[in-house]
Amino acid sequence: MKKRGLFGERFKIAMGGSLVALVVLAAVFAPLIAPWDPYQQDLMARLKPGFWSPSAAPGHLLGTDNYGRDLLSRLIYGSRLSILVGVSSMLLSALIGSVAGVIAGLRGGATEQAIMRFADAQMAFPDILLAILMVAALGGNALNLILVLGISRWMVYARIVFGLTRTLRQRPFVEAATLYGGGDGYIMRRHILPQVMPVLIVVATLQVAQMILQETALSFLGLGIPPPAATWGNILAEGSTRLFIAPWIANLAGLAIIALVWGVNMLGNGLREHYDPRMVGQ
Amino acid sequence: MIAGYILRRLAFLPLTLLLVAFATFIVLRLTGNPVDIFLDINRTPEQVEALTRRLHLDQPLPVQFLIFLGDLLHGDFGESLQFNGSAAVVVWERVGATLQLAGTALGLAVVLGVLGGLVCAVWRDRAADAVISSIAIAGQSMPSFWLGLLLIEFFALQLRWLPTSGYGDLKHLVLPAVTLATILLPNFVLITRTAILELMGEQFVVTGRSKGMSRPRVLVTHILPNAINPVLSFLGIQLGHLMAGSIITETIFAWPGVGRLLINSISHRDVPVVEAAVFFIATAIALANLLVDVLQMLIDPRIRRA
Repeated sequence: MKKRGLFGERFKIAMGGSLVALVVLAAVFAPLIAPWDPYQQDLMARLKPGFWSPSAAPGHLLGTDNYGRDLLSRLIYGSRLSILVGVSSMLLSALIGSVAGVIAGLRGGATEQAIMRFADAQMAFPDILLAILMVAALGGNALNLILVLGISRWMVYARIVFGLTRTLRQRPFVEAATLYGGGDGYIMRRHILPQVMPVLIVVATLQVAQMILQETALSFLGLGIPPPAATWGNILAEGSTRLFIAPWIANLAGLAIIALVWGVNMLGNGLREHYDPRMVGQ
Repeated sequence: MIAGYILRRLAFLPLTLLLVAFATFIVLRLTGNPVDIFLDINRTPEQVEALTRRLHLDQPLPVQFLIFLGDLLHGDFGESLQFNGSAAVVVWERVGATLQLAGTALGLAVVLGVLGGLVCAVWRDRAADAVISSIAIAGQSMPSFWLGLLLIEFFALQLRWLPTSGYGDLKHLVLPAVTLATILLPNFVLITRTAILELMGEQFVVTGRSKGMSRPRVLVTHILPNAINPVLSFLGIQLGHLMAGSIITETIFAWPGVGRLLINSISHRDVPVVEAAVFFIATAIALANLLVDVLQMLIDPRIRRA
């Protein structure tokens, strides 16, 4: 099949993968790379621009924020929370969603109706609204954000896994396994999961991008991990109140977010084309 | 027959709303004592007692839920803790601003998105398609709040053409509407492109071409009418997205709508207004989805027969 679009799948995987790898490396080695302590204040060097300006403060490559904290160091440390929350909440929702989807697909009947109608109902409810409500009730910290985001997106996986399981259930090898007395758990591990894995990996990768965007949106609305925590959403929110005097704060945080999310999206789309060329263009 | 379908769907509406009411109730009441959430540390025992009685927290939970439902039937969410007057009225006063913003943005996104998708599909794999599709995919990675800030920086702070935020004449609407429309635009471009490309392979399109109809004519008479439905059903899915985007956009631009009220009420611990706002948003989405379904039935006879 002819490879469609501007770039082939290999280019997308390589490009997206290296962007993501770069951010992950920065997050892992943050204490080694970051030139400053992200929370160290220097009130003499407040709101200094970075290297592009003649009035830059020495040693602060990307300038400083309202408390004189080094922006580059804050951005590097911010990647840790974004990746942690993005990946963990994806894992949680993938776990809940695939188990629910497999059970609905294997059992059918009333179980299926209960699970899938519940998924439909939650689908109709904007996920950010649910997240806003839950964070408002539970309070914002990394663990709560992971829980909230995980719960708000499980239906995405449940629907896909359910559809695949329902068709797989009729296949001879699953029927044989059932006849030999294999239980739901065994069939799920041994026969269903390996089959749905490629699709799950693609969906999960693309969902990480959505989770990171949601996390930064919640932080921006003041419902994320509260300041002074160095998260990209917090840096952007703090910068947004000083757009006129220090636009670089919000813009650099925005650039960091879009770089990571775009990288994850490229990687996900590349993987999608790699696993299933029929999905290209969808 | 269409009337029957609408009636059947309307009969399901209370069920959806009941679910929404239940979800709102659970999230706000069971995740902690609302008194702890909505009163700060400097509270007095009298305040605690007053709020407990006001929210009926001294009753068992099922009774609380029934009281909540009963009040809801009367459109009564209680008095706002932050403003004078009932929470329902406080929310209702902000509805106009939200509808104005969301309506304008949705209109922009649909018109531009469908045009963009059409261009991409007709000139598939040419320069126009490559450019528009790539921008659309990049646009899906753009955090909406940053886009809003960039627009403020450029058009309000640098060029001084438009106000940075607030509500008033048409000038105030431009930046929020463009921001919100841009959140939805990439999806509409990509979905229209896919829908039209799929239709181009259909037999009735191939037949039309082989009978000697020109490309533009087949496009107008065969493809476009059939592309309306997939785009409409996608629009239904995007309504939740639209409301979520509206919450963020209203916050960035200090737009006095329901979304900003919701965020404000959460930080001011105003439970009744939070409940009323959430309920309004969920109801609006349910009703709009119903409208989309009915429109699809009116347009496509195949759905009517199914």
